[in-house]
Amino acid sequence: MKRSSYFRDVAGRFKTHKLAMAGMCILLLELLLLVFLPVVMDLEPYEIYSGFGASPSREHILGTDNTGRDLFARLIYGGRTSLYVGVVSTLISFAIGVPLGMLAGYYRGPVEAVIMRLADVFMSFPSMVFILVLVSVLGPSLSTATIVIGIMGWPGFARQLYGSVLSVREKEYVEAAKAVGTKNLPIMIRYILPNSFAPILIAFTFGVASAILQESGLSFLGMGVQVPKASWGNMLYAAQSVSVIATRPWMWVPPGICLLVTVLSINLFGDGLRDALDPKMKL
Amino acid sequence: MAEPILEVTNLKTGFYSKQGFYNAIEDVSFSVYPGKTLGIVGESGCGKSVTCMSMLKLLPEKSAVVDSASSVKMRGQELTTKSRKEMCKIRGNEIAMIFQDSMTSLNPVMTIGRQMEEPFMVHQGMSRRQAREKAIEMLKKVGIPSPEIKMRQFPHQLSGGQRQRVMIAMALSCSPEVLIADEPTTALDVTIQAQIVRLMKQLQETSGTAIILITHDMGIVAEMADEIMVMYAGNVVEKASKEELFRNPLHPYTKGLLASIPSLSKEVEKLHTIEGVVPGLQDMPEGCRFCDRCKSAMPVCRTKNPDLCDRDGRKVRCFLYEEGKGADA
Amino acid sequence: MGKYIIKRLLIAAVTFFGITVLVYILASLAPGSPVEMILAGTSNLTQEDVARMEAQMGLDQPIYVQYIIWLKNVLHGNLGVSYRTMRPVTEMLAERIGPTLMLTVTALILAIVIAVPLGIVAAYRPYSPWDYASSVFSFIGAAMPNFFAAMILVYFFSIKLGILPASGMYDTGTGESLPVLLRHMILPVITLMLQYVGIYTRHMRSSMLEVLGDDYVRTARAKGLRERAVIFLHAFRNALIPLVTQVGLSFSALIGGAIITEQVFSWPGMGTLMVQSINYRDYPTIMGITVLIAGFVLIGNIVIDLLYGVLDPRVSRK
Repeated sequence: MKRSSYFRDVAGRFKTHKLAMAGMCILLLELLLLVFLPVVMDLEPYEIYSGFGASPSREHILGTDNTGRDLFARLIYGGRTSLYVGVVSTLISFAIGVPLGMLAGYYRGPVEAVIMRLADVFMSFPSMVFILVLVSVLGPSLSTATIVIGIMGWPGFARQLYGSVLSVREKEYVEAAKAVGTKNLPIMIRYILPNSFAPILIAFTFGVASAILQESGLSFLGMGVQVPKASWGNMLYAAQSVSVIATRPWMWVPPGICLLVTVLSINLFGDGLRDALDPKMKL
Repeated sequence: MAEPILEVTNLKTGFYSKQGFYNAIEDVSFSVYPGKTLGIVGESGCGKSVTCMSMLKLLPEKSAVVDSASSVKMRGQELTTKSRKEMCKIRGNEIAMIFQDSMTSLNPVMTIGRQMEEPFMVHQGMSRRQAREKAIEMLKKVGIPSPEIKMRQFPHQLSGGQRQRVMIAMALSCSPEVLIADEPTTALDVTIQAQIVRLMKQLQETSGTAIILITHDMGIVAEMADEIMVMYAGNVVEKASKEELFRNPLHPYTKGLLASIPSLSKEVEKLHTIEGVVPGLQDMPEGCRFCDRCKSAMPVCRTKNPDLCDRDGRKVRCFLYEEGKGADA
Repeated sequence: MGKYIIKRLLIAAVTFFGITVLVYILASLAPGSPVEMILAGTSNLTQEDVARMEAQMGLDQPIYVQYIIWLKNVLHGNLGVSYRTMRPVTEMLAERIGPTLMLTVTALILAIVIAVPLGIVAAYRPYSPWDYASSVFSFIGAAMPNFFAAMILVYFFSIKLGILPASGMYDTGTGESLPVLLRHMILPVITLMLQYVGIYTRHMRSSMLEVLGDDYVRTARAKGLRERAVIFLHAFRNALIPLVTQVGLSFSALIGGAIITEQVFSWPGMGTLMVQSINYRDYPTIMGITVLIAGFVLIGNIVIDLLYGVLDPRVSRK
């Protein structure tokens, strides 16, 4: 009962947040397009058509790239790539960060010192540089990008959880659970994790947005997703020469706008979510 | 009695919130006389602070509205119609204010000296050097040891009592005619409280400043006030001289307040408390605002808010004392 | 204050040490031996040649010994020799530091200088059209990939209007003069700072709003100070404290942005060198850049800590 009313409250608050609702609608629409357009329009992102570097036409809405692949098809598949990297790498960050943050918060002492110090190292050092070093070792590819971005994102989750654990562990019900002899692991899972739900969900949302930006940046440097696989970042990478910028804006404007709108929508959604989940937490 | 220095009539202030517009205080009238102390008492949230902030126009302009029928007269000049610029000349100069929490009320990143010098520089056009000398003089007056050193320190380096002394010194810098002290002792230890009360009384004797003392501590009021105004949920419910009020409280709320003071002479089983809490602005009861917590509530109390009426030269807002409406107490 | 500084310096040293360990481990995981890299292209290499070279370079030692040797060299300013150019890495970096610092420091300072007044105005008139405009700008700034922003800028200012150069630090053949350099800096600096103008404006706005509700601001008003004095003498310095934290947090992202921006504008800084080195798997250079950037970020953080001490007397005298 209490749970359902909590969610109703959250949903109610979220609905009053107009920009967040707009963000959510755009994201849903985008998901639908990414899933169904390839089927409906019979899009082929890898097929090489005759006539490379073509301008937009009826067969190719956004023309073709320098090898003759359909740019609209690549835009849609590039969107799939972006969202895939965004979500999967954030899941990786989550999977690393949450347990580490919990350990640090729960055990304190040397465990805490080592983990949180390491988080500081990761946070204070440019992740782009680390990512590039890792890519140089592993070789650029979609999976490298996903894994590497995922690995770099852990300190955010760890810190968030660490903070929550510290605030929850002193609460009476945790003390009580300890007093009756409940083991550490069940305490963490049963009491601490649910209490950290809201901040983690918020961190996850913003994590996806930043992972998408990182992937696009990496691909833009030619160090991320490699052709023939499409990603918005590598579409811009292929269009970065001054002559392309000048004469063929359809090659770089659509993927750029898509990136901008996607990240913007996720951020707006996350903002609304934060206000809805925790009205006290501001900026 | 002498001419009042400050006359407040029908002060009414409301706030805009997400849910709508609500009046925080209504129909508040009182006068303050030179050298005298008016105590405004009541639980937190009863509108004591809003009253004083409205007088000085210190409430946020966007959300707070002082009703146009309200009047605040300082020696005959109307303050409610004054522009922001004109108010700046009055604040800290003719009417000064001391706040509750001296830790947060002093700027943490400015030295005591800088903050002490400001009133002199703003209101008396002094140079920094002149202001410095005056500031040191003021600090001496309020009993701060080695003021020259304290001038260079930051608020967090002083003790709570010292900080409150600084606040008092700062407020009295320009010898204001009215001093508003908003819970000046609440954040302090009991022994320090007594020191601060003594200091304020002593300063009042030499300067003749009128003091408006806002507090929920009946003990402090008993010590300092000449006249007492009891507020409840934005209304004045009783106003009388200190002696009369303590000897014979009329309003049930005042009775409750006085009964909740622990007494050493009488042995009591349990400390008296007033059941319930002050209603929020959104859920004011229909009739008398105290009716939900009042032991003497009558049917009429639930339908209409009584007026503040005279009774033997004192004022009380209760149907128990309104002619023809209820029985005499 | 002294104790505080020493503590911060110690933390910085530990962080630096941590970064070097991480980077060294990563680089040693790379496939292929350095010797093969260096001698790539040399014909008739025997196993023995390779082994001899490896022994010469200390590569037959256990990894932690190698690391200690490397760290010792790094601390002496010896970052090794580039596999790609065969020049000392220190020398290559020396050429690249200037351009990168020029971009990042200018962008950072400009972003702060622009954002602080914008934030104050937005906070002073919250929910005004001006406030909305600034928050729309910052939302877009935060979501805009900086290479896309760069391409848009190039499209309008270099191609359509033809008033600003789109690449390099100087024009070819005209010699190196300050006005030319400044003209070349405009687009990259705008690209790099856009996002931070937005972020800092929002932070300044919210911290100013918070501070304006603080008790000491009420005290200042009750003293009869004019609104301008209240804001600039009392609220401003307090509101800057959280902004300083934010600036400190953005150093690392700023470097990441600089790598991409340099790439778009062919700016001869450490970012373009990094990308080239990765393409050639030039590990000495990659590690050199990493260590240098780590050093910069740490120095930046120390500066931030010092600023804290200056702005907030409670920090340094505790």
